Amino acid sequence: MGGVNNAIRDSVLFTTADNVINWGRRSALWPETFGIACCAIEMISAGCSRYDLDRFGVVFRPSPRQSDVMIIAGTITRKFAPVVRRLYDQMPEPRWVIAMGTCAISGGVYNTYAVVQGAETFVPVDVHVPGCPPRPEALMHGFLLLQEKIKKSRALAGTALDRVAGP
Amino acid sequence: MPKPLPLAPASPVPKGVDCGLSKAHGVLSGQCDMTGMEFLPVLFMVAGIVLVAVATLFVSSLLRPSNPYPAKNMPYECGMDPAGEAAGGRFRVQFFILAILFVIFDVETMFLFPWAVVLKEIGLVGYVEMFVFMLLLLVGFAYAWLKGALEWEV
Repeated sequence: MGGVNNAIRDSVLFTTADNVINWGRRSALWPETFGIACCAIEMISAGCSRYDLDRFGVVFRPSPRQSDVMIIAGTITRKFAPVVRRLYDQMPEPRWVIAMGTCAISGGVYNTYAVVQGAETFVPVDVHVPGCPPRPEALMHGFLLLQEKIKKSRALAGTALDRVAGP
Repeated sequence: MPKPLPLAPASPVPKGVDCGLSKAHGVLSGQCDMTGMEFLPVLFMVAGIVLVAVATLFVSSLLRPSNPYPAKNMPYECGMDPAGEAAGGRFRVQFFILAILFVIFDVETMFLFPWAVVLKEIGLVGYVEMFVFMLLLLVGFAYAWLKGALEWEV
């Protein structure tokens, strides 16, 4: 990390682009329609009219190709973990993961041979939402935390423009 | 781009004089001196479209993260391994060749209508020229037929 390259990344061009792009990204977080276990019921509830996640720009999409966020809502069995991983792989970048509920965070009470002990073991998790299951308000809080995280991130990281600016 | 119709020199319209008459027949005649300039705006439009498209692709290639890898490029089948006909990646598109053949004869028909409208004015040469055009298409059609383009392989 050279000082000159950081100076380029802290320049007005880069920071303005970061602000604009990150505003767009955090205002339209589209999660996959993807529920594994009982937490999915709370996720569905959060998406419906009473809690209305749409007002945060969170609209559920039926394909990972159109999604930005994966909500891992439920217990991940060993048999299903490769599927979850592939669905994560098939999302376009940038992409984020919310581990919803105790099972997705750590395996929860299911400390057995059949259950993966936490989504963190095979996908990078951005936000953990604890609860068994978490209430819809908790999921909303998770989305707000994710928006804060995106706000602080470098939007142009990994792009051709970023590579031009130096290593 | 509109292709000039096979109008014969025997046409009653004098060269480079009357643009109005040929238009009245619904024909874009190649005999009007203005024809070259008439399509200049179309050229500008095409150039503008190409410029905007290339600029958009270039700017987005600078600004987007790009990280393709095999698992990401796999066909999406709900996270499962692809099954069935599409599993091999590519599969035979039977309708494609038929669609191409259809388009050729569709265009031929499109040319036949204006030709029929001005048939009396363009005389014998124009009459024969259309048959030459159709003959060329028929040669292509016969070639496609002999190559088995019309066979339906299951």
